[in-house]
Amino acid sequence: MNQENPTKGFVIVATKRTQFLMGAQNLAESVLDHYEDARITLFTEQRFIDDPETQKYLTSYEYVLPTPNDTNREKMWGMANSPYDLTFYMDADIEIVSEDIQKVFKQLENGKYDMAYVNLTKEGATHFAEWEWGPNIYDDGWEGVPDHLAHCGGVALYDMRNPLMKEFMMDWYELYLKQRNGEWSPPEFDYIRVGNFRQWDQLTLWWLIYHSPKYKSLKWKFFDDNYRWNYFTSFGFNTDGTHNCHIVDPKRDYWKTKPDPVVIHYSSWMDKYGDKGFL
Amino acid sequence: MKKEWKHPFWENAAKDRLTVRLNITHDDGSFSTTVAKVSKYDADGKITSDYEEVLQQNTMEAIDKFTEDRLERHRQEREANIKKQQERNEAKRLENLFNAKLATFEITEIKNSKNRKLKAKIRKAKNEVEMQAYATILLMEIMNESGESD
Repeated sequence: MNQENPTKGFVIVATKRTQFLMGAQNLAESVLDHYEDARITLFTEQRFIDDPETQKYLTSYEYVLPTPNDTNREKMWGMANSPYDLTFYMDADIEIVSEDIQKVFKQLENGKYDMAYVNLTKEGATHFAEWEWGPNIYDDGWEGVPDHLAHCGGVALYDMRNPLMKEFMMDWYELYLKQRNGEWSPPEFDYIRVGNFRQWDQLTLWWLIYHSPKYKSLKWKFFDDNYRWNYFTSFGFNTDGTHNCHIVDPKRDYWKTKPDPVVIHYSSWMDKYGDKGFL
Repeated sequence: MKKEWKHPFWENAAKDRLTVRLNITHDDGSFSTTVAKVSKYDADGKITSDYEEVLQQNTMEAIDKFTEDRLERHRQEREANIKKQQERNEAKRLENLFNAKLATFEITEIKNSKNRKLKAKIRKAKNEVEMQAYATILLMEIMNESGESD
């Protein structure tokens, strides 16, 4: 780890299905289209690394590293084991569409913050499966622990030079698997009134950020130009080529000067089980 | 029994037929509400008592305003629905385009090509025609380089 000149790179994780490898490769290539010298690491299952049929999807990376398991949440393990000091993690069903991707690491403001996330806003909440369970909403000015999943796990920017960061990501991974299996349910989960929130890894992230004493010292922020870093396709693409950050993120004003996204997230549309075609 | 005629609006340009919310408070204290159609004239051409009652409770200006507001509200809803549907269609089109690009990169020659410039153009194509055009150019270059075009 280099305190003065941190290494910078991108992490993608693709497990379980070949179409995720295809999406991941497309994502890596789209990063390279806009950031020629980008360093990118893929985490995938050992069987995909060994299989000659899938090796053609592993050509766009600096490193291709194996995950320990084949769960659909190996992403947090990959995030914890990033080979880069400053890491931008992205889901595999994402595409980069702007050269501003080169500026992403500046969002941590030279060590001022340990991590940055996209804020899932109240106005965008109709696009997410489940979002809130109570009245205390970040977008309404609530400054305490919000009763909703404020942090999006689709992308994450973080600084591995802080040793706590690796532990944070590993705890996210391990606690989520326990949470999903019903083996871990901290008392703070009792405040959740309705819904199936325990199935989401974002709930684990919410707990780690707001309730874990161990990580109180970690400094986090939301991206200044929030949804530019994770624009869900369901937010809409207008026929004149414009986007709708102003509708889903009205309380910020970055879209007045930077209306177009850097990151497009196909999460809403992607055929995650391969039944409808490639993706 | 107390009858209240609420929010009337004209059904037609001739302004001889109204739709009104009719709230009735019955003598026993119970309450009922319904949407009523009120004609100005009966079969004999006389002004109906319901119509007169509506006009006693609502001015002509108020009825005209309810009518205009309702038309404007419906116009805005129609426009919003059309816009929403257009956005959905565009998002769906881009989803299909995204899948088509991934399929294009499944072509072995394209996947293995080192021509980043043309591959980027395929990835950034705005529609399938543009995508196919660049894919064709790239394949032709590959065939020319390998001498397959002879």
